[in-house]
Amino acid sequence: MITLVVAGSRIWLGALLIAAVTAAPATVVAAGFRTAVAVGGTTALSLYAVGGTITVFVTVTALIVLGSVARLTVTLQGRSYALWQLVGIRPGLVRLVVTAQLLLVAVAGAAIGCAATVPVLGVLFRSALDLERPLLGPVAAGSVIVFVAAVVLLGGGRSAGRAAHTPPIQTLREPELPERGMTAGRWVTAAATAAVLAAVLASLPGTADDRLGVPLMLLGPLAAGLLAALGPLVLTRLLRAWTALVPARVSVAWWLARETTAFHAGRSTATISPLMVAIALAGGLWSASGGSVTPATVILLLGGPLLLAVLGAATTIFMASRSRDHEHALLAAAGATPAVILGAAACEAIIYAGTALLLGLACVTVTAVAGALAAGHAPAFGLGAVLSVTGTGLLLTLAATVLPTAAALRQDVPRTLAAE
Amino acid sequence: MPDPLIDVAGLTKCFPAAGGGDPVPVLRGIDLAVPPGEFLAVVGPSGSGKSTLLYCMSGLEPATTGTVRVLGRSLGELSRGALATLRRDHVGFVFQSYNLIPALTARENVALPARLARRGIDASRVDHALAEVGLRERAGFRPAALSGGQQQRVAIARVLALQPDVVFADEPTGALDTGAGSQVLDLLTGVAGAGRSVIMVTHDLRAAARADRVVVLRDGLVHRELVRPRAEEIAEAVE
Ligand SMILES: Nc1ncnc2c1ncn2[C@@H]1O[C@H](COP(=O)(O)OP(=O)(O)OP(=O)(O)O)[C@@H](O)[C@H]1O
Ligand SMILES: [Mg+2]
Repeated sequence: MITLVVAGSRIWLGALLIAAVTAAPATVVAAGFRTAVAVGGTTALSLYAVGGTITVFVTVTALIVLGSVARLTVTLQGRSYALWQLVGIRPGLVRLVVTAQLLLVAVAGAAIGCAATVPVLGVLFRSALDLERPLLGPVAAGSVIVFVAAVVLLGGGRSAGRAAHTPPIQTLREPELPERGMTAGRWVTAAATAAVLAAVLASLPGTADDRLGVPLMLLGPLAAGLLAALGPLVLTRLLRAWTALVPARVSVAWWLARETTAFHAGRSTATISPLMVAIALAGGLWSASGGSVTPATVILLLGGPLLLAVLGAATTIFMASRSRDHEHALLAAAGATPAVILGAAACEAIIYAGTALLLGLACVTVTAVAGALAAGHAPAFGLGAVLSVTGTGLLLTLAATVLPTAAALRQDVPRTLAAE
Repeated sequence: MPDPLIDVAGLTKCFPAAGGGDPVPVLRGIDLAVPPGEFLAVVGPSGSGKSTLLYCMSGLEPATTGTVRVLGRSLGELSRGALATLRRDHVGFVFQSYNLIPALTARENVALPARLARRGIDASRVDHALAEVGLRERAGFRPAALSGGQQQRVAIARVLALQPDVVFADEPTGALDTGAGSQVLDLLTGVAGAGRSVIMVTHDLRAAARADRVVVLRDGLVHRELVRPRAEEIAEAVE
């Protein structure tokens, strides 16, 4: 049983890392609220305001990024779970073990992330908020861990059930659990997010210019949340549509990357959604402020969520690199040269970043247009922010696809194929 | 006697021992030449090194010592890229299992080598190859929707459409019933000849009996060589 639990360490490491990175901004928020309770007065009021905004950003990012990672963790191991069932482990037990694994990783990751953040809290509060003594008691720390665990279970819990109840033979044929399309849960989430989005939009007309900032800032993450919920409906279609701009006969590498990313929808969603959130948050903040934010504000409000989102995108690629190596070995056996395989890996990163850019731009456009209509000025799209986040994301995803591929190309094909 | 398409001399292959001890020899000095047009079968007990021999001959795995020449070029001296290009342009491979790219349909899998070589895809040739293995109606299916034997036949269709100079096939009939198996053997026999060679590993002695020559492998060495043997003779040699 121990070996079963330890299997797939690359996947679990990725999940652990992202749980830890989620806990970091959550710890900052928790410390902010805890400190506000202690100090009271106007300081507390401003802490509550800032903390509230960051809470929205962190929650939306965590739900999308950590949720995707948790789902991917289970999806990628569908094969092992099917094999467990074939050796006689009951579906109910499989579900229990998978859920326990997820919970363990969430709690361990959150504890690590929380502990690692405590030493920097002092510096952060002093420089950004001019506060001397941040506080973080057991209750605040505990709520960070509970938050991370809840998000992981929300994202991965259903997949755990699916891992247990998909007939094992089907899973062995199709090693990754197929994406289930629009589930009832997704429709409910999408409808709820759309309703909140509509309410915020409806509140804008008539709001004084100097009070527009906060509602406008909410539009980006809300739109990103809506698109993430509608993922199965829009993502593959959008990806197929824009990648068709490069015809198959121009580049084999592009064609291979296109077919692969469209086919492995689960894997692609897990990488594209975090990038989309990063772009929507950064561009949205810029746009909401009419382009007048200082770097310090950006770091305070978005530092954690942006780091989480971009790292999340790269980590999901790393987590899936075993399956990717396997496919590359098949390509090599079919006659692909190392150059074509590396090219396909690079194109894959470009396709992820490109799709995320289109989705992220859609979110920023909502903010920009709504802001322009409400305040009566020209729309600000925050293109600088959008492009720098996309560029950073592209560099990281390129590194995450190309470097492991280059390393795997040194392995002999039969060995890579035999390793499961 | 024409130059052999494949020439193996003093080939050995060792794998590192699991516990970190002395390397384990799997092939222990193989000499073998395959002339153009020959249909060669390799038989032998499980674990005797048949698959390993095929991987070394096709350049998928490097030899520990000895040389392997394919179309006159020594594989050990080629760079990774040159080796891949040689394989792409001249070699087809059918594995024991895992052959197809899961993201691609049967038709796309069959057309893949032509696409990789930028040769332009002859759609009628691809369809014809699929029809020859009896899978024309399944052309649009992805591997996960095909049975093991059907996947194996798609892999065969791929080498039929590619028409490489050498085809390596590891247990190509292993997952097939007698009827489909003998159909695949007919196709492979048809590929051999016309200057092309087929090297097939098999456990099925009746399939081996269809070959021009049978090499019996035992403990990493060529134990016997039989020319146009009957199944009973092969059985005797394998014993
Ligand atoms: N990558 C590897 N590392 C270590 N040992 C290996 C490796 N690949 C093969 N072997 C060993 O080499 C021997 C020959 O393996 P090979 O796959 O060539 O046998 P085979 O004749 O094809 O058997 P089968 O008929 O069962 O397919 C086996 O004992 C196997 O354990
Ligand atoms: Mg074998």
